Amino acid sequence: MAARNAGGAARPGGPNRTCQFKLVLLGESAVGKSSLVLRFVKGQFHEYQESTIGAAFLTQTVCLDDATIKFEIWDTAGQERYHSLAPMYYRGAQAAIVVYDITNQESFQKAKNWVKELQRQASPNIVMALAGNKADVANKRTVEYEEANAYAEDNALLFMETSAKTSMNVNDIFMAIAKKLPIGPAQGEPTGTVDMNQPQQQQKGSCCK
Amino acid sequence: MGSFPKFGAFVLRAQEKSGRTCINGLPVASPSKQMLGRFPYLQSLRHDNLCVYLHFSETVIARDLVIVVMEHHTTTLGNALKSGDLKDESTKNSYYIEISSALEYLHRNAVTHGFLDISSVFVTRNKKSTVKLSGYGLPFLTNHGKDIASSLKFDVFLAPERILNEDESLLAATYQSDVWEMGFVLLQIYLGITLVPDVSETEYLEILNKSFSSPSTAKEYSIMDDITQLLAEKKRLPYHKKCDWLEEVIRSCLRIQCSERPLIPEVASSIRENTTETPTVESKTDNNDEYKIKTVDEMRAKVRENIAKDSDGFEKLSLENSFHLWKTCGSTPEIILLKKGTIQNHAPISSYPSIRYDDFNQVDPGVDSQSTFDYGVFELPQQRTLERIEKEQKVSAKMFHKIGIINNPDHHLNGNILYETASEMLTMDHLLNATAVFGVSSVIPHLSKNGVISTQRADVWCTLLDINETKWRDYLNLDILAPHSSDRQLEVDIPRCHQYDSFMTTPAIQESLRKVLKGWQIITEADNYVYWQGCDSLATPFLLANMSKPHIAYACFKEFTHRYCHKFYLKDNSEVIKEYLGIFYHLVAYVDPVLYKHLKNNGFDAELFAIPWFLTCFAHELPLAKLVRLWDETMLHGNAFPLMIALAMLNRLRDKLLAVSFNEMIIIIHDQPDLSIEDIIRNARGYESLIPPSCTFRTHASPWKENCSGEVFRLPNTMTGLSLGDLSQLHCPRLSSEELLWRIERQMIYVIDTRQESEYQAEHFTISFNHPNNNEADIEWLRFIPGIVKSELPKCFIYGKNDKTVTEKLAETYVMKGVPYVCVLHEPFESVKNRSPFVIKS
Repeated sequence: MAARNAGGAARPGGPNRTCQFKLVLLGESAVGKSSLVLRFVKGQFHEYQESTIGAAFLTQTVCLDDATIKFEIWDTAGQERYHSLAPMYYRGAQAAIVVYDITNQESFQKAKNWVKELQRQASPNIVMALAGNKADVANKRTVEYEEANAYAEDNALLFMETSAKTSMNVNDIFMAIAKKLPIGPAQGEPTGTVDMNQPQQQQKGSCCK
Repeated sequence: MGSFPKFGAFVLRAQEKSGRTCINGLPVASPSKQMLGRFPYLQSLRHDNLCVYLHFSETVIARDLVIVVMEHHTTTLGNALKSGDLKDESTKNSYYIEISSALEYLHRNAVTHGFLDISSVFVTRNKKSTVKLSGYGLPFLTNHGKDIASSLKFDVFLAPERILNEDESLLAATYQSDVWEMGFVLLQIYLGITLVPDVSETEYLEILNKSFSSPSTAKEYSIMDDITQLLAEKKRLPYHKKCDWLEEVIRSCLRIQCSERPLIPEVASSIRENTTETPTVESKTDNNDEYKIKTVDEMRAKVRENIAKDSDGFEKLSLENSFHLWKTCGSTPEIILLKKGTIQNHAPISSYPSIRYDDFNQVDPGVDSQSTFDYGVFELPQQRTLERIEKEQKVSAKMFHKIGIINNPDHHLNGNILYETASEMLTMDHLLNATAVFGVSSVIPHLSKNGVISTQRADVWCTLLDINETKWRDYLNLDILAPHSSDRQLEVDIPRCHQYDSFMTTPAIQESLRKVLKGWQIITEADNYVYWQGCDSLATPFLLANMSKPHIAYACFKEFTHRYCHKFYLKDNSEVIKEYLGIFYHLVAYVDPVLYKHLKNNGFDAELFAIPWFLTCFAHELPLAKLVRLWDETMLHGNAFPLMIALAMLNRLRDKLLAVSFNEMIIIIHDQPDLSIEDIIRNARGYESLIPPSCTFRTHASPWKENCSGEVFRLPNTMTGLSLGDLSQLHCPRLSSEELLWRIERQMIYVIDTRQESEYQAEHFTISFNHPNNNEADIEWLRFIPGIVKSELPKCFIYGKNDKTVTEKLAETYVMKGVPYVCVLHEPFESVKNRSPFVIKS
């Protein structure tokens, strides 16, 4: 995997604990979930990013001052029909990015639903971020920044408007999440696996080794 | 030789518009892409008197040039008229009929010709027809000229309203202007001469001017008599047999007021009524002769006759197939046109001005584009094709009859790929035609040995999927425009579906895909089927094979998914998918227990990677070129074949997967570059013969049964489904009792009986082994069963009615110890014994 971790190679001599965190992306289809991940992990952008079936998995490492954070990213399918698979991916996740498209009001409503579902079903300590993607086409905006920002504040979410196309705020939102993740002393095994059958897992406080 | 068809190529410069975006923020498709999308419709037009469009491509060297290839002939009507050998009345009559009926066909299909003149009509020596119209439909292709930047050269005798429209677009062709231009063609045939150079462009314009300006001009004023009068004045009016009805027809076509001109069907029918001779119609059925032959003897006789005549086999190849052969010789139209200098590529520096003064003024802007091209149709050379075909042997009818009718030692064909391909194409055509009589299964052995040639894929797939009118009739009556709940999803999915394929980037094909998917949804809604993301990828190959026939693409998609993705698109498909994935993992345990254990130990469940594989039958995972090969093969097999493919895909990554843990595993499996599809197919076939068919039993499997596989595939099966919980508790597949008995009879199984020794002694199957009673896996004991170590036969665990769970646990232990080919019987010994003659009682 080392080859892919272009974004945040570990600095030589840095203090280092490596922590693994599971992060899930949720949101309406075609809002740019896969594009955000692709920009973050590989620095690429495809105008015609193909749709995601089921889910895709990628990893990326970022460096903080006192730790190296390895994100295990589950990029889920957006279509409503795949909803029943979603719990499999967000269960046990320490972080989630809920994405909407700033040119599509409906996708913002959908994002709110995801936030509600995560508040109900996911781990109580999950770090949640709201990303208003496609900021590069702000002239077609239908969701106002202030509206989304207010909603995010009410729900204690990190919030940024992003653009996978121009890469605006893409690394930043992941970094902001990384900084909010609990980097405590090592506890338990890191888990990349997702949980298919068991009822909701006990949230692990942190995930460092 | 001679009848290898000729191909003509011409170049158009597409308009360049960049930077515009659609309402969804994506870039607008370029004009060349828009033309590419329209091309399949032109290609689908078929009429005996129309040249066939064969190929459309964007050039690599200059992105704004596109190349169109169509059927070509040497002699134009203009040549024939100039040489003066067009005198015969009956030939002329048949020309009138053929030209008007071809134009009638075009107009019926909503296509205007736009370029009809004596140089775009070919005279052929083919007995099937005597003239063929060429270069038609360019107004349609180019969106009435809006999509091209190059000008086109028109004949002198353009309809007056088109001349007036000069500034708008010369391509503003209408049905009425076609009628006018046909009038001129008919007139020249009638007179037996070409009007150029006797009637110059100036004189033509003067005549038009006069008739426009004269106040006395009646609405129905026609210029025909002006033309003949002018010729007479110049003493250039040749002798021609006067024909009143024809003059009347031509006169009506040449009415100045376009609204006064007749419609093509009227012209065509009055020509038909007035020509008594029935020209060359007998030849039209010629092509079907072979299928009228009733007995093998007649067939042999026919073939012998062909061989005796030493007739060239190429007339039997379709034009698409011939062009495919031409391309096989290693060239592309683009390379040829570059070599011949038809397209000239200029160095970028040549577009710089030669003098620049002050700051902005310049002299001589040089060449305004990086490449220029010559106008006109160019015959593509065929020397190389023909030389390569003839290198070893003269082409004759013999080449094309390898199908056992004549005992033709074809070793001399080996190594000549063109012979092989041509012969293969014809054989396939024959076999496809014969399926009506011999059934679909008759074509399968041949396909499985030789594969599918791309030009025949659409036909082969339709045959294998058994597509006929009943399967698309309902589609044609749908209201595809009515709003539907899935509209938004299609709108966002289709523009990003297989976008590396140039056809898929065109608006026309994307629209067809939308129609196919929407139609499918409306029809299957009643069965609770819905559009799942991924259906778009799956429908694409069928559409690309049938670009101008979305109804066929729909029917193929529906039938294919009915067979291989049965119930996958139910609104709630979780039962179906989970069962499928459960069975898939049982099969992994069966063929590769070591890998199975590794996957299980790492929590690497099939849900994490195999859903897109199965849900789209690999269409979302593989590029189209590889996918269609895989599907060619899939359609020859039963509904469990996708499972075999998945096993092969997994096997390919086996060593890598075994070396790493979860995170790396999931990344490896999502990223499959340089996958050799031939290896996958070979392995999948291997798994199919290795795995007992009843081990693939699924409650939700398609009721469709393939029609040619072996006896063991056709056994009845009394198995019932397991609950998802039970399915996940089991770590090997289940075998049906029917297959058990079938295999015992043939000694194609190791039966391991886990009952108490006393019960076993009382009665047991003839070739069974009694497992030691402690119910612990004992590899040493197993190894001593004769031949078992190297055998690929199933090891089936059978049990007494109270020992089911224990036995399943025992089988699991063996699997986890790495023993392959383990399965359990789906019901206890007691239920089976009375059905079998192979039980020994003490």
